[in-house]
Amino acid sequence: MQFAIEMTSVFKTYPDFSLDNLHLRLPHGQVMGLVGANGAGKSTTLRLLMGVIKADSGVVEVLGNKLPQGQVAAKQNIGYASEDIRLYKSETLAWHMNFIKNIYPSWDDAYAKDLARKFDIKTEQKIKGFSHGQRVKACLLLILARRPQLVILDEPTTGLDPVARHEVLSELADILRDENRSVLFSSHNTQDVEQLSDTITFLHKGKLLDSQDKEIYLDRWRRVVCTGHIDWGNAPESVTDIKHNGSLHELTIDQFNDTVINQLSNMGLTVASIDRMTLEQIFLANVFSKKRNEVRS
Amino acid sequence: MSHSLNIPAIKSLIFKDWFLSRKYIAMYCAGCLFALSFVSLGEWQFVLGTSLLMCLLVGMSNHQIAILIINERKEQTLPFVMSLPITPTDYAFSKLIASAALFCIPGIMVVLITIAVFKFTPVPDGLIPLSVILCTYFLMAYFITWAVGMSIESEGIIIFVMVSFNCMIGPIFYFMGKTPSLSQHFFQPDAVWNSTAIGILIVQWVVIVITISASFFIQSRKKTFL
Repeated sequence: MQFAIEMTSVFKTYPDFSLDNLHLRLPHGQVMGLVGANGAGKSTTLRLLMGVIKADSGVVEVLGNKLPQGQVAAKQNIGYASEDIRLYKSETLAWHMNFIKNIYPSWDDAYAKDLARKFDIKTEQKIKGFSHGQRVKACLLLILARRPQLVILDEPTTGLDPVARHEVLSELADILRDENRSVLFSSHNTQDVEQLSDTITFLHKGKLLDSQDKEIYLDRWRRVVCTGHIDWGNAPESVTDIKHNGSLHELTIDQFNDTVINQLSNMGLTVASIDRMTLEQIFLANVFSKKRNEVRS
Repeated sequence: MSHSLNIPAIKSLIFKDWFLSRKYIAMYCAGCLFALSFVSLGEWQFVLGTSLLMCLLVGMSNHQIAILIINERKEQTLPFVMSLPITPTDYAFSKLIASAALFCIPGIMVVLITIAVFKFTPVPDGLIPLSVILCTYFLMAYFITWAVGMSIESEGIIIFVMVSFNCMIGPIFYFMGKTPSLSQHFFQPDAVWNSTAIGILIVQWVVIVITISASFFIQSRKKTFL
């Protein structure tokens, strides 16, 4: 079993949305950030991986188990938390811990207590008295203390205040040090993804835009400011966006290398600056480039 | 999707449902015992006691479906349950056992006490078949509502089904009162189990079995569970 997650040619169609020919692979011990705007298909992808949605066609395999048939064996080793998960509000966190402990033999009591202390949550308190941040932390405690091989998180930091977000991200960074654990998490907060991931996957309108190692990915994109004359007609193929500001042109470049700079110089352009881009800028450039291509075609 | 059931997880889910419903069930059981405590004291007490008993049985069944099925979706605890190592069929199976036990254990207790009240008090035993048919009707209504709740996600439709079955209680009394093979024995000192009474009970149980089977069939063919 080489991959923790393997999706091959997966299609899932709803009346107003479809996941289109998705190929996704997460090697063991890797952390993959799934980035996409609302409605991109992130949650649908994660639900397919939990076996609660059946794909119309294609193969979904998690920890060596084909889904949905093998979902019981797969879910024994998956910790899943999503922003729409709620706990039983009339019961305490300790009751939930006991409930989970009865189902997962791998439950680690000492680690659970340690997490409760780190997250500063009272296990004897009823869930209805928890704030949103405390509820998220309680969910994370319940999945992490069972020490799963694969952690799937759907928007884990959405709606958290800066302190709670920092605590959650620190704990996630801690668990990610375990080389045997694979993590797939979705977020529209690209800062979180940039901070935690080894691999980045972009989804847009149900299609996979790109999936690559984070460092290679960040290294591949540049923002180049130059003077001279350029428009879409004569721009090199790797230019995905051009913004004009007086005599200055701001170019967004995918697959950046020295050849692109030479091409720009040969066109008579003077390069004023070359900057690396943040993941958010790359994501936006990717989405807008996709939209532009859709309009053109 | 064929697989063996995850029995330990199903057990935990059943205990969870029992635990979450325990206070309500205790309250309804206490109410039923209170209603039965005075049915044999006189005519108006009989009418009041049996009316209260029926209201409590209907209330218990509807309240349970609201707690076990509707609330699990409405309060978004269903994604938490489905993240556990279970399939949709395991989930349905745990709900069936938990719901059946939560309704049938207090229900059977109420039926047995009702029969005892009829046996050992001046209330005529001829009313026992009527009471058993009516209690089985409540059970049938419960399982049909349960199956609709498990198969359809609309709270409105579930409430409509609940209300429809409640509205049918009056016409059922009317139908049984107008059926001579049943009504002629109501006020006799002994219970009479003739072919009409037995036939009605068989039809009710066949409907229950078909309803539960259909619900499992629908559950196993669902493409989207959440």
